[in-house]
Amino acid sequence: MSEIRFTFDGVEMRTTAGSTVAAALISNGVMAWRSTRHNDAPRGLFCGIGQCFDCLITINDKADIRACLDVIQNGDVLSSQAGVRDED
Amino acid sequence: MNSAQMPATADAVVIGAGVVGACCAHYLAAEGLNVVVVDRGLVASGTTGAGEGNILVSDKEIGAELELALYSRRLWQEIAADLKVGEFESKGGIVVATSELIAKRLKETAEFQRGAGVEAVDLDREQLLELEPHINPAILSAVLYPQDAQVQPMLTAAEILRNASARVTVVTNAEVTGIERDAAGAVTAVVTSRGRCATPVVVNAAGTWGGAVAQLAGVELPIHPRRGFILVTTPQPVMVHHKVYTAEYLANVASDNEGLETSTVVEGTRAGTILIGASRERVGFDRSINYEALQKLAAGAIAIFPFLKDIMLLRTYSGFRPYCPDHLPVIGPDSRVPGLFHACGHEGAGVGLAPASGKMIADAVMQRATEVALAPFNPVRFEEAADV
Amino acid sequence: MKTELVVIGAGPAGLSAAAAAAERGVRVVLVDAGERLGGQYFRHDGSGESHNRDWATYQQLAQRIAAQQSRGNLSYLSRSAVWSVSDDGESFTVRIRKGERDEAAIEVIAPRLILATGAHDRALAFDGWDAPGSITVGGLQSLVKGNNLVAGQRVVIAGTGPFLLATAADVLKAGGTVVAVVEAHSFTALAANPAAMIAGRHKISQAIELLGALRRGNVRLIDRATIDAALRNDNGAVRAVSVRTNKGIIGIECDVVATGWGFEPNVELAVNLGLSTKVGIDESLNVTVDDNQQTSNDRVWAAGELAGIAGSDVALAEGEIAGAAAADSVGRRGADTEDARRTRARGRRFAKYLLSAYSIPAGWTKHLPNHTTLCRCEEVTVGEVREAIDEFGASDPRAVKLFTRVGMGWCQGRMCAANCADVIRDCAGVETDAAALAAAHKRVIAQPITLGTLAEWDSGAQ
Repeated sequence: MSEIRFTFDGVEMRTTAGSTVAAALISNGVMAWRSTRHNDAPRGLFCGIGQCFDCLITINDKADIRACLDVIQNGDVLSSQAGVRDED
Repeated sequence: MNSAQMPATADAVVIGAGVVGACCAHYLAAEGLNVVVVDRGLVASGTTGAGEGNILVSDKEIGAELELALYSRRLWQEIAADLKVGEFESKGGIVVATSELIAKRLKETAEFQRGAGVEAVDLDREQLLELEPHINPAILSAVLYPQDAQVQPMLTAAEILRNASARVTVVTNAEVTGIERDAAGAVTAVVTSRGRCATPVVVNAAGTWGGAVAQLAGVELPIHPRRGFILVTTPQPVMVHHKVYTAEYLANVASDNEGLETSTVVEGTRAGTILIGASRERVGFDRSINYEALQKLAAGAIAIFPFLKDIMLLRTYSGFRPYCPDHLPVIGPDSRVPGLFHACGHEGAGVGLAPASGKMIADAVMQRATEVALAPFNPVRFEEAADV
Repeated sequence: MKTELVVIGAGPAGLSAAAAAAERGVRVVLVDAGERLGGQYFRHDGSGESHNRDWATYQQLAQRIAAQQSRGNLSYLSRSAVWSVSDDGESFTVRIRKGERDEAAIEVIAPRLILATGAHDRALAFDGWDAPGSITVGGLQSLVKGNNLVAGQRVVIAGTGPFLLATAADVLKAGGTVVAVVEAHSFTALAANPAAMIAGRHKISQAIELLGALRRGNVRLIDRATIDAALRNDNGAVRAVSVRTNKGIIGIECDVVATGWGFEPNVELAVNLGLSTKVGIDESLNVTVDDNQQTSNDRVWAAGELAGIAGSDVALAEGEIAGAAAADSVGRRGADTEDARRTRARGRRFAKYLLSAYSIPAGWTKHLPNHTTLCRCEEVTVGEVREAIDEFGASDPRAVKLFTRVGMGWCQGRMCAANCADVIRDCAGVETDAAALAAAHKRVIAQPITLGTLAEWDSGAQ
């Protein structure tokens, strides 16, 4: 299968085309990509099938995408998502 | 405050453990009365738990209701001092005008309200954008109402009951099945699915279901449900700082339209979610979803705060506002049944008007004069009107 | 778009239901949230190959679906999550959000509906279950099946039921390391039960084979034990678990702990439609169905896990029966469904033994320290829930939700409502009945959609 490139918080990464965003991150050793609103606690994948919404991530500036459902695209810019995002 | 057994006797029985019932119990207990509060569900499981916890003066028309609202706002300040978890929040309301005509009407209304003692500050566009940076810049004018406040309604009702608990017994999951009366017609007891309680005083604080409770005492009270939906977004950083609503709301509250009416109310919450209201429909106790209402609410909110277009709707819930034909609540003794008092029919303003309603019920039970005249809220006013 | 029948869910039950109805000449739209056909059970990476032991079954189903597509009897909408279904008494309006990052709106209208919405792992709370590295068994398996990827270098799999063994074996096949499988009951509970052997000899011998494979793979098999806590490293992620066994607490180093306690049906669409529900023997909420998989609404059928957790064989059979019954209701008949009915009867019998043997331990929440997170989304602790129960008399999940925000967050209680009901039972002695459980699973907006999409929704679109 072909390989694609993406970045996570500015770090270049590679993964297999067709991977979910969560799989792309985990295959690069990243287990957490969000922090919670109240306790600033790290979170990553939990249910893995779109039910728990713990794996929310920001992709190309769009927030709150479920990493376990979305399929990564070549050139995606992923950013970890702080629970309390700064007001612009 | 786990549900107690039904006491055999009480000085007063309050029917309904919503915020109005809780306030009635609070002020009756303060008079030294032993009070039993009964509810067919749990504490605040009716309209109180389905609302936003508004304490508003901005949306009240000049007259009896505004006087009541201002009085209640003062009492809320006292009650809030004892709240640990109810989160009394003086967030302030901003009413916005989206057309020249509405802008003119809004200015006039604010002028009248100031005369009646309401704090109302006219805002120009710059001031508005300073207070609400994400608001649609096309909005023409606005008025800030610093007295508008909010509580978490369920926690508040529960906490008021807990704080009063020395003299207040709360019996939940107890549906009232009868109100017993003596030969003279005066109330003597309340009968529930969890037992009977003898009492000389019954306070009907059953909200939207107040008409059904009145019938158990043999009297009519024209209280009907008016369904409303609220949209709740996913949690966001703070983008909406006040309760922001369109001036059309003023027209809707007092409207007699049967069908779907929506006006726009948008507010941020401490939990990070944004709440969007308000719809009004007379469809009885129908709990089904009206997608047209949801759609209109979303469109209305986006018109005021364009950034909402990309924000996700997480959930929606509905409730039934209790309304009377003249849109005023029913507060005070029922002259047809000695010992029966009503405090219900507050439409969308139950949380805001609860302390004043409770205090005036306590005053009436103790046969004292009330701070605000009871006459406009007289439970038998509809009967008299029909007789004319 | 308009059609004769909408089938929601393309797992074993939905696939067989859609195929069975279309083969009888019914025009079907098959709607599914996933990238590919197959649902969770037949999840695959799209390469055409899979380690799935029922892969041949999937291939047959996929061929049946493809055949009906080319005949024009069936259309398939992938990546399509249903956010609401409403019923005007004659037809259902199915509102769909298509895509995750690129959201599009689709509406399908049909007079008949088959729900085959499947299930997700039941996850019990424990201290540290919210740490990165703590995932569900289903989540671990979905990465293996869908992406051929093992999460973590050292995996512990815990909870109860044969699904733990199957997933551990899948991880080994994919080249991963499972350091331990921790089972709350006995690994061989059913082998000792003659009645269960009669109902499911094949399944039981499969489990015994799996146990052998795991032993050969150097997996530590610990039964009658549960995860007590996940311990965190400096980044807050899992570094070890403590396991409560008969002989005391033992520590196991790992970077992933996958837990699963059976499954919870995805019932929100059924609840939103007002269908009758009941509490199953595993205490999950199930849609009530008759012999033909018909629900309390005579134009809605339910097939698979949402009608009661019973596994893929039963789901396949129920799909065949539901699809045939839906076709029959419009006068289109085909082959009888006797085989499917026998499979269903046998499979349900076995499921009863399975669910009783691998149940959630009674009183499990009593061990939870107050600081344990109960609601992951709103970060509400077990202690806060206990306080709402004790102080405010909140004795059903709805009241606890309104007092504490448990279940108000992103997942809308999918992960925590059942746990909350168990805390209420263990604290106040009040059992949550089917009506209260249904209220806790009422999610009017079943999937989040943007306000912009909702505002511009073209309700006239057909």
